[in-house]
Amino acid sequence: MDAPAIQTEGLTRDFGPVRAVSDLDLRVEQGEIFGFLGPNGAGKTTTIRVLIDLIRPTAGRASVLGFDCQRQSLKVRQHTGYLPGDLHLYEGLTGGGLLKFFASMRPGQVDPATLRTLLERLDLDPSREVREYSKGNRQKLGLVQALMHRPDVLILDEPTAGLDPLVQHELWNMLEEIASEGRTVFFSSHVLSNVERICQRVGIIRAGRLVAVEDVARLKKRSLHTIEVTFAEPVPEDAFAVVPGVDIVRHQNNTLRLQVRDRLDDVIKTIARYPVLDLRTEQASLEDIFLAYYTDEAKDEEVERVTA
Amino acid sequence: MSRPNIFLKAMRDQLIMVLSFGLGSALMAAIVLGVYPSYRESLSDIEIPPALTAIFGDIDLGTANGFVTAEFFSWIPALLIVYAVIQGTGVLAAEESNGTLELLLAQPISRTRLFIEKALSIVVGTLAIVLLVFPGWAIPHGAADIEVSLGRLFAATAAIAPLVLAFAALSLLASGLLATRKDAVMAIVAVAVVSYFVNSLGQAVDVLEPLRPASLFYYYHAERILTTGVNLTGVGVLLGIAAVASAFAGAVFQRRDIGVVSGYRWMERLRRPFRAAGFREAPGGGEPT
Repeated sequence: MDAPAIQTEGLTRDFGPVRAVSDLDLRVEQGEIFGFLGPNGAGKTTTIRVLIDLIRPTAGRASVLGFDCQRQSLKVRQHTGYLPGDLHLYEGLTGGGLLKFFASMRPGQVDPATLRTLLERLDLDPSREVREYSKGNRQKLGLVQALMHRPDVLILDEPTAGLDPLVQHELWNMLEEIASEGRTVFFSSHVLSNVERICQRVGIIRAGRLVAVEDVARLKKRSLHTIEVTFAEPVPEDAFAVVPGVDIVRHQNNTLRLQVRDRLDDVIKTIARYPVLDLRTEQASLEDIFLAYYTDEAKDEEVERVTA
Repeated sequence: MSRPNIFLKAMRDQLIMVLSFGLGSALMAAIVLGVYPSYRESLSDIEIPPALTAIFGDIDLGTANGFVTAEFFSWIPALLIVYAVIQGTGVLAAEESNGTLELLLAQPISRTRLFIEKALSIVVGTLAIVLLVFPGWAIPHGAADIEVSLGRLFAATAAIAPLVLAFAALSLLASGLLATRKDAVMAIVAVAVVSYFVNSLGQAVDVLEPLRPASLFYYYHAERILTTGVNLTGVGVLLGIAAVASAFAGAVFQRRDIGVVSGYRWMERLRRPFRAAGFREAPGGGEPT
């Protein structure tokens, strides 16, 4: 099958006067681990819920593995596993009873051995009642529910919420294995550092718009350095502000904190013009890289809007 | 076709409620019929105050039919409508507000199938309640000589089911159209209360008489069933309303967003003018003073 795992075209959804998702074009290939990132309220969950056909788009369309999310929703749901961001379970059932109930709606799709392995790997006791579970255990139960039928496309809304780092680590391993089998993982998060380890690509959504889709490897290659220099005497801020790719983060006493994109050469030559007492550089996290590159785009957009 | 597990789960979820409504009504039936023979001997020439006649209709308490109607059939149907409203607004709306509907609909089952299995659980629950009442009649009836046939008592009891189903279907529809379960419950309770009094007062008050056919209770007349047998037109009208309302409710459920608060908030609308006039809801709501 060559159909993209997930595709949206001009996807738009309004809630009354509020446009939650705006003209979203997204394409996720099969076998990818794709991180869908953005602050809370950016439209991640709305997009995901359209894929599962819980809500209907105002305009545009979405498909999973080539199946239309509205007209062929049953096919879509047969091939997907879904973990809601706001997870609610039947309190009165045991963990195992809950899984059995959902498995019964996928006749022939759930292999008991797979289920057992999942429970073991996530260290989850299915014999207890759901109401007794901690938040982390509920999340694990939700994950097992999404994974147990070995879906071709996994759609996870904030999967790491409530998981301790150890379990999180195990989850990443599992997702990597899934992708290595050619299956697709699509998950949302509002924390970038969460995803840099396992994602191949990330899409950033902000205020309902897809701001950027980036290759994580390429993103990591996009260098971003933070340089902190302490000079022996006051230096003019302007001298650094004019250097291309440099942002002044902080200027206190004679210490200057700079964020430098791409080339270090120009800024080092500028620094060399003044007496330096101390110099430290840090490799930026993926989060900083993103902020540096894409808040700039946001700035440009703003400028366009003002000048237009 | 896999096993109807949603139906089975819905049945399990409502088991206690069905048993309580069914056994409670059965107990009432047994008491009413059980005391009837001694009542017949001691109080048969009691005068009914006209005010009571106005509310309960023209009932002759001197006969077994009249007694059973006044003591049981005049209010048990209204009680069972509580079941209809709880389940009608519950099977889908409650799962939606609990958030469990989200995970259920992430499985490969169509909304139509989900709706049908849920609606079916209400039908079976209603029938189960009605059937549970039967022994409540049969036991005292066998123990004494009572001048109303057991068959007619069963028929009058069974005929409550279409009334309950009509209200359940309206509740399903209301919960699909209105924003919250509370809005739906209040709307149907209002309909039920108005319906009940339009029908019973209409028997005594001439002005209301022409409105009676608009009341669902008009189509369920226990005393007439006890004396002349089931009126199929009445049953037909109630089942028709149930069928049409559930079809609409199904269509609404098919089209709507899940887990998004939409639909009409009529209680909110009602409250608005009061709020504007300076009435505020006490703690929590309004601005700090």
